Amino acid sequence: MSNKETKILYLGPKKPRHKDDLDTSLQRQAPEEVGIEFVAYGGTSDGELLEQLKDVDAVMNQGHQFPEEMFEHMGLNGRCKGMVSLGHGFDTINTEKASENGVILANTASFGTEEVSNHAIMLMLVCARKFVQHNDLVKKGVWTRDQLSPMGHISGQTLGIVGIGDIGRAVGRKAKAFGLNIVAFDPFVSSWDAKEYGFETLSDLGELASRSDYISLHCYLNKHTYHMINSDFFSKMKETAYLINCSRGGVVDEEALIQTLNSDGIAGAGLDVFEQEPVDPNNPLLKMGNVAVTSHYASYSEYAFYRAKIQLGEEAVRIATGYMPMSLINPDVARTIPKRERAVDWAIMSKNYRR
Amino acid sequence: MAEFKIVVFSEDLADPLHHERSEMADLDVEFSVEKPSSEGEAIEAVKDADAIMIRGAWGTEQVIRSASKAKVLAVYSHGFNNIDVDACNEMGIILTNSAGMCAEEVSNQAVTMCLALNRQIVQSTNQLRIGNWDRKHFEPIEPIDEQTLGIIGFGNIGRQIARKLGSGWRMNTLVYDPYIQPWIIKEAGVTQVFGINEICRKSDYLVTIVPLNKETFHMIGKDQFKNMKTSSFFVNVCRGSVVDEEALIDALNQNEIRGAGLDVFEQEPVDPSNPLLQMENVITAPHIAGSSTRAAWLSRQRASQQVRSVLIGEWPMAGQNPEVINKLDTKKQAIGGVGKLTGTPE
Repeated sequence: MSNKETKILYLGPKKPRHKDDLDTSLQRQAPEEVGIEFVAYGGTSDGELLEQLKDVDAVMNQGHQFPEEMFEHMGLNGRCKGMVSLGHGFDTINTEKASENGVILANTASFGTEEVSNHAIMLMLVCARKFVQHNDLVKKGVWTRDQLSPMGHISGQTLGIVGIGDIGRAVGRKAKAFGLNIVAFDPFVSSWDAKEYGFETLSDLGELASRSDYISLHCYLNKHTYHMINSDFFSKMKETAYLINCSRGGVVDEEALIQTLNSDGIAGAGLDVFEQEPVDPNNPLLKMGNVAVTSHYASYSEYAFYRAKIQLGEEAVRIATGYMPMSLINPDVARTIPKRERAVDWAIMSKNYRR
Repeated sequence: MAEFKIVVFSEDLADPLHHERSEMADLDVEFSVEKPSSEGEAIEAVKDADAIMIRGAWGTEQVIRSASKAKVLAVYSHGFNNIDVDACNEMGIILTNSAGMCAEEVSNQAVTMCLALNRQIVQSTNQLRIGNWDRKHFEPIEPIDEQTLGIIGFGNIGRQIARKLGSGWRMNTLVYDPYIQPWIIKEAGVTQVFGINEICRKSDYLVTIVPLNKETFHMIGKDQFKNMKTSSFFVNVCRGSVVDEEALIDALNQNEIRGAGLDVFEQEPVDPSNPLLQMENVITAPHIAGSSTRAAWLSRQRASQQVRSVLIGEWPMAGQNPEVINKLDTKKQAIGGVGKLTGTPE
C-alpha cells in the first residue's frame, strides 16, 4: 500500500464555536508528514458520513457526535479501521459495539494532564484555604477571621486519589511538593507500578474515604464508576474533608453530595464537572459558600489543544497504516482484528513509514 | 479429584510450596511437583495440567503443545526467553511472569555497577591487594552528577534505575524505548531519544534492561560500540544475548569503551576462559541481579497470584502474551489484590 492511496477523514465540530475550529493545519500535520491524504468532512447527514467512511482508512473526530451505527460499516466490515477522538473521556462512545465490529478506538491521552492536575490542585488549595468564602466576604466589605477554623495544615495531611492513571499520578507528584501523604485507589494498576509513584495503594475505597483530608477523583465515567462516590462513601469521609472532582459529574451522586453538604457531613467541595452540563443555575451547589465551582475547563490551555490536535493526526495515521494506536481505549478489539504492529513513538514511526 | 491441577517444575521434589498454596487457598487445587529430566518426562507431566508453573527449563514447544488443558503457564522469573511464546499463543495458554518481584534488586544492581565503575572500587581493591598505591592508576574519575545515563528499555526496572540515578544522583538521564508512551517519559522526568545509536553516542553509562526476544537479540553489537564514547561504560543486567558478546570483547580490547559491568552472559554459567573475566576494567556477577531474600518469596507469591487470576477467569496483572487474547473468551480485567503488601512505599 503506498501512502498516496491512504486516506484519513477529519470530522470537525458540528457547530464551530471559534474561528480556530475551522483551522485544520495541526490535525493535518502528521498525515501530511507521511504523505497520507487528509479529507475534511463537509457533509451534514448520516448517509453522507457513511459514504465518506467507505473511502477512508481512519477517522479523526473532534467534537462530532458520531452515530454508533457507523461502527457496523467499519473495522471488519469496511475500509475504515478505527476512530481517534479528541479528548480524554469516552463515556459517550459505545466501546463494546466498536470492539465487536473490530473498530479500533483511541483518544488523545495525556493532552491535558498538566492542566487537569493543576486544576485539581488549585481546587484543593482553594478549598483548604477557604478562598471562595473569604474572597466574597472581603469584597463585600466584611473583614473577619471568625470563619477560618477548622483549617488544615496541608503538609502532613492526606490526599486520597481515586484513579491513578496519567492525571492521578501527576496530581500525586504535585501534591507531594506540598508535603501531602498520598493514598490511592485504583484496582487496575499493579502494585509494582503504584510503588514507583510512591503512593500507598488501598484495596478498599471506603478506607480511602475515611483516611483522606482531601479526595480528588481521576477515573473514567463508565458503568462501574457511575455514582461510585455516593452517600455510603460520604458517610465514611471526615467532616473536615473536601471532595475535588475534575473527572466526570456522573462519578458522583450529586443528590447525595448536596445532602451531605447541607448536613455538614463534609467540609466542602471543588467541582469542575456536574451531572448535568451546562449546570442548572438553580443547582443548590452553586449557592454554597464552601463549594468552589468552574465550568468544565480543567483540561484547557492553548498548548493542551495544540498538542491534542497533532496527536489526533498521529493516532489516525497509526490506525490507517496497520499499527495499534498509542492510546487504545478498547483493548478488547484485539480479539476481533488481525494482529497489528505495536504502537511506536511518532518520531520513529514517521521515519519508518516514509522509507 | 480437585477442580484444578497445578504442575510445578521445581529443582526440589519435596518443595512444600507454601506461598503457592496460601495464595490459592480459596480454590480447589492440587499441586504436583515435578522434576523432569527429559523433554519426554516434561511432556508427560503437563498433559492433564490446568496450570503450569516453571522455574528454569522445559518451556519448549513440544511441552507446551502437549498441555492441552492448560490455561496458564507462569514463570517464576522476570524473563521468559526460555518459553516458546508462539506455542503458548497457539494453544491459548496465557503466559505470565513475576513482574515486579525483583525490580528493586535489579535496579540496585545496575546502580551499583554504575557507581562501582565510576569509583573504580573493584579495580582499587585488586590493586591494593597486590600492594599498588598508585592513585593515578584509577584516573580519571568523573563527577557522576555531570554525566549522562542512557537506559535502553523503560519498563518497570528501567524506571526505577532512572529514579535512583536520575533523581537521586542527578545524572542527566536519556531513555531509548520505541514502545513507551510519551506521557510516561514525561512523568518520569527523563529525556527520550529515538535511535539506538543516538543513545550510544550520548551516554557516559549505558544500561540495557529489556526482555530478550527476537527483536532484542544482539541489539547491542559492533555498530553500537563504535558509536559509544571511548570514556563510557556499558552495564548489562538483563540477558546476556541482548549484547553480541564477541563485539563487546572486541570493543573492550580496542578501547572503544572504557569498561563494563556484567551480571549476565551469553553462556551461563560463564566459561571460565571467557576473556571478559580476565579484563581489569570489567566487573562481573553470576546473574544475581534479581536476588534477595524478599525476591525469593515474592517470585512465588507473584507467580501464584497470576495463576489464581487466570483460574478464576481474570486476565492476569502480569500477562505477557496479549496476542493469546484471540484464543480466549475471558473478559474480566485483572484486579490488583496485592496493593497492601507492596504498594506501600518503603
